Amino acid sequence: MHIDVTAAGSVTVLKIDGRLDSNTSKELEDTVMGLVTSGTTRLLMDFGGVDYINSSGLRVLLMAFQHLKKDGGLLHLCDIKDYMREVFEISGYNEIFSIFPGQAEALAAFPE
Amino acid sequence: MSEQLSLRIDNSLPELDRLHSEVECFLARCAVTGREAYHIQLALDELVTNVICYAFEKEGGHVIDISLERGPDGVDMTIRDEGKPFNPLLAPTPDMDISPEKRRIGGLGIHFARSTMDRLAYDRINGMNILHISKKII
Repeated sequence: MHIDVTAAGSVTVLKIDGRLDSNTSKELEDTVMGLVTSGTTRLLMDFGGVDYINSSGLRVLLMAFQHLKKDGGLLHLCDIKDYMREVFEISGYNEIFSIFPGQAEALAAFPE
Repeated sequence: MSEQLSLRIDNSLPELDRLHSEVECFLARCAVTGREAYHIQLALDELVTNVICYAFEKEGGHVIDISLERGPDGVDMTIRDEGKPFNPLLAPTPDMDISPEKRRIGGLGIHFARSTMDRLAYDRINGMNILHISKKII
């Protein structure tokens, strides 16, 4: 897995590539926690390059959401493949996360 | 002749990568792709992870046998281990009514397997946990 961190205005964008599983989720967790601890409050995760996610990957997303929300922050997700969207629905996570088709829509949805 | 795969892995998390690659090749041979292939990979991943994390006192030094067979109606899978008796089918379903901020982190793996597979059955025979899993593919 590879994570590319960039900034789009006030939003930090994480472009994730590869598999998000038991052996790689820790890397995403460390990246997210590093950003949250250093003051990031608006985070966008781009799943365009992710072809697999399991419960440990979803666990990291929930944890990121909970940490950001606690400090009034926001987490948006985008470009999740249809077959993976299904596990968001099965877990009820589709109701927790704001999920957008692409980066442009996800960035536009952050409040001014 | 039906396609089959038998795989023996050590009870350690890095072995999940090997499981994934072997199953990927097997599914490609059987022309199982896309959503169905993802469901099978996910269910095996979650259920084998549970065995690795909970069936033994510590990681490493124990074997887990995994077999897959492509039959006329779908894919039948079996996971066998000699760990502590553990029936994952008795695990509670995650509580979806709790607000997202307070929801317990984790506990989703078995829920995924239950939701995406057509049959899950557990047996404890001769000191072994045996989990049968079936996914129908039309």
